[in-house]
Amino acid sequence: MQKPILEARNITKTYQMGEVTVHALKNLSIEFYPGEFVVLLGHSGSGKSTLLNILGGLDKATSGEVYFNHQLISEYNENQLTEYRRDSIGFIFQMYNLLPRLTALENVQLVAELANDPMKPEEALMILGMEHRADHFPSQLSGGEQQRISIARAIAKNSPLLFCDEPTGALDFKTGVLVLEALQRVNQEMGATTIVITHNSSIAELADRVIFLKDGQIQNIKVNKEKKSVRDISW
Amino acid sequence: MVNKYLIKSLLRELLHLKSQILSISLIVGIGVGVYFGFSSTHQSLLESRDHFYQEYNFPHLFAHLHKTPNYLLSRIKDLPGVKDTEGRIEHDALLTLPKLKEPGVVHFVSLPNGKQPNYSKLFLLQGRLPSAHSNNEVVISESFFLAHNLKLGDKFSANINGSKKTFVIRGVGVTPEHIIALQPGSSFPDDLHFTIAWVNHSALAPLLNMSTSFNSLVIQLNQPHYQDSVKSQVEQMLERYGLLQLLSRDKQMSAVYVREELKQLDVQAKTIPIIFFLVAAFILNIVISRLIRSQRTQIATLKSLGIGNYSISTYYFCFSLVIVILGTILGFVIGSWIGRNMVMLYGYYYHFPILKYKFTYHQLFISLLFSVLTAFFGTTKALKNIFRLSPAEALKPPTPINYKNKWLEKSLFFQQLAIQLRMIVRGVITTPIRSLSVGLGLSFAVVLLILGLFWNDSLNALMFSQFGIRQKETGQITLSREMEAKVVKQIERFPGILMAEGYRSIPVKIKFNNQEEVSSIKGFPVNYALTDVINETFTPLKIPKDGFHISKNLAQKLSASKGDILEIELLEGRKRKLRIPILNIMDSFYENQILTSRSHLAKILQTDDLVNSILFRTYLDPSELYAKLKNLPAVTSITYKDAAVKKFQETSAKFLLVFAFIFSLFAAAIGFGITYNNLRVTLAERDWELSTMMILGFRQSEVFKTMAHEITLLLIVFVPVGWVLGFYNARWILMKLSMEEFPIPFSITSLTFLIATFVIVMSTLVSYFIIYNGLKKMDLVATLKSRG
Repeated sequence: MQKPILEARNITKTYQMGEVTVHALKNLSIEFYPGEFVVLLGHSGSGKSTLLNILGGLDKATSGEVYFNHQLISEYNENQLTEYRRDSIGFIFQMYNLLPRLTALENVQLVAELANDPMKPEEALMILGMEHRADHFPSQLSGGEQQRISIARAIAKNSPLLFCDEPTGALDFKTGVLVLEALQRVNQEMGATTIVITHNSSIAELADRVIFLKDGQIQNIKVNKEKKSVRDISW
Repeated sequence: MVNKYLIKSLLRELLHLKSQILSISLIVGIGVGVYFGFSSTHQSLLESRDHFYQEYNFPHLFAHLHKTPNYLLSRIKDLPGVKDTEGRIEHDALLTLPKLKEPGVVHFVSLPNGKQPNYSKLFLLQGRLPSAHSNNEVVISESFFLAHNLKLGDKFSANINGSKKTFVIRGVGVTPEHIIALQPGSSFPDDLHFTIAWVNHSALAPLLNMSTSFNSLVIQLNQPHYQDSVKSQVEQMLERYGLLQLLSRDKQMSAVYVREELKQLDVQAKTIPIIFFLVAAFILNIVISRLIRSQRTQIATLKSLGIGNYSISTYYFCFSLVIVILGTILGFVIGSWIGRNMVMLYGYYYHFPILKYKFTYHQLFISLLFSVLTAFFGTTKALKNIFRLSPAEALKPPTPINYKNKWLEKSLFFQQLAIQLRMIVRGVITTPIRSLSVGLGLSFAVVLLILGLFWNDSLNALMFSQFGIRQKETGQITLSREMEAKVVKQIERFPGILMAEGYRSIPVKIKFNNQEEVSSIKGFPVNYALTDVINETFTPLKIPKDGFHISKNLAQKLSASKGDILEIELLEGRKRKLRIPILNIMDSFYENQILTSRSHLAKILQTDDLVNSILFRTYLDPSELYAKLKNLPAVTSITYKDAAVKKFQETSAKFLLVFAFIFSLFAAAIGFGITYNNLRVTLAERDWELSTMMILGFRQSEVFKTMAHEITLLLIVFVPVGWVLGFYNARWILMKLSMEEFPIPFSITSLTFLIATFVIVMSTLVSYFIIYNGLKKMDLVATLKSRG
């Protein structure tokens, strides 16, 4: 049986909001396997972003453990977490988060320079079909274009994990399709474990596995025996 | 109108940005403090001086003469425009005090027996005047009394005209004429070796054979505008009696010193604060612009609720106003501290009888006005954006900045840069006003530092020129009369004297092109070894064998040039008039001088080869030499350069150290204030970008560098700008402040530039450190959510 690349065991996350204690995650356990495309689905407040933040080393769980390649990352200090993100994760954000003072190519180059075994930045742009926009600044690009640059930036590191936080959340349907196609292709061609959080249930049909979250707990896990192509879904 | 909810909001905003506000208030505070401190000190000294001059009858004219019969006093009094005259005897003598090993000089001034003079009255700080019939009681000047820790009743002896006489100190005092007690011919006050002694006329006159004559005259005019006509009449009348010098009040040495000091304070009060107000305005512009940008949605909401542009602008202007008013209050505290301490410090050097710290409401008002103007100019540009913003547009996110700069992107140099460096350069170039504000602020801090530090360099250059190369001698003997040059050989034969060289100095009045100057011709031996003739680069000048060189500043005053013929009137002897051609202009920074060889001077004066000053070099201990020379009847004074240097260095070092330290603190406050505020604004504006970089795996230090090195780049560009501005500013200030009578050579060493740079870099590093810690505390997820 395949060993998990990333594993959360009995994760609980609580925080204070004024006088109220919010239980964002309740004793949640989940495993992710190399190369799989996983969608975390749930409504706002279900705990999906909190889970992604904890898995990505951006936040710490109140209790429980997180393992990456059998290393206990939940005990890492800030510096170790930075190294973990630097070496192992490619992030894709809802608002693209491209650095405004760098061109598309430079945005990719900057991050590629961090990696031990990066892909050529130009190649990453080419995979996303954005090579013709290499010298453009983010302010000169549309939302879809920016998101595709953001994906190129994430894959250029050749990292084993790809975390996508509502990647189509700010895009219209047509542009969203282009972005999802790119994500699906990257997952298939590069083999990075891709975790996408979304509240859009249509996207779930693209995944190997869909994890339904509600009130900080896993409500259901669905394995898609036959994944759909992006062109076959709509929302 | 700004309603109470906006006021509440304003207070919350102020509290939220308290550290930035305090750093701006501090800069405004220092600006106000310097203005208020310096101008109130100026006011205090001015009032004390004017009060002293008025109450103690500071006369309008001072004449120094050879022995002149008393009956001329009434004739001068009868001249039109003259209100009153008073004759005195003044005499310099060697002084012996048991505690004083080095040579000292006492300058006697006669008093009407047991009474105050009518003019230049004595203010008694301690004790009493000499009693009417006493012939050995004196009142001496305060600085000498304090320097030697003397008590009333202590004694000193003086060698007057060859006879040694002992005097008893009965009082300590000061007159308006001696607020600074300067030995004639000396540039620095020397409290250890020089004192004024006021003595009964009947005690001094017989010793100098002047019972029915005087050699010093003071004249009070009916109106100051009679000055010129009275001067020329007095000159005519006294010509044949040997008028050495006729000075108006504004040329009197002590008055010159006090006036120049007042001028310096006034210039400093009016120039230095400008730097602080400008920097504060720059920072306010950065902070308020940022505040308005970050609150565009709130501004739009307020506008859509019907609150007008003026009300919203007033809100932000009030924000600036609170900052500058806080700064002004702080400035009053700093200023009154500076003022009180400066007045106290001046009290040690300028002996005003009553010196109280004072300030005027006018100064308070001007301080406040400058602060409000700072707020106005610092905020106006940012406020324009409020008027430009339409509510509909403001509710949308701001248009992203276009970082595309064609010139920059095309440049080969830019293309070679690392990506992070390209980010930094684009960040600097695409916000030109902010970058320029920060850069100029840093330059101004360097300017201020150079202003605080260069005095030390210039005074060191002065000391070097005066006492290093310039005076190769150990000391100088001043003779009471001209003597044959063979006296130099006699002195040289004293055991322990290694070398002696005599020169002759003749007071002259020079006329050229309707300009008139009083100066002196100095005759030196052609092959001099100890003499002080050098140019601005400290190279010794050749003494012309049979011609005249004049110093550059004298040539400038007379508008004379090489080859011109000057009319010279000798102020000694038979008052001969001569016409002398200028052989050369000396590039010397020293006061009005005409130089020639001693033999040439003797030839044109039709006298033997005479001298009246002797420079010497010796290995003897001052006390040993002093013991050998002080009984020579013709010796008026012996000055030992080491003693003078030591005293001057002690005095100046104390002043300069305090001055440099305070200026360094001020400049550091500017450096810190401007970099800290700019980094805070950058941190607030780019939090999203910085968080993104950290999430992508950049270390905090790497992320910090991308924002901090924008300041580093500005430092690299603008610190050298500060060096250049600082150099010219210091030179301008020195030119403004330098006294005609005592020019200071301008000099800045590389160490000054180095220290200035070090202070700015350190103050920047402190702000880096604080902001870096702020970056560490940044909540990445919360920051991203706030924008998402």
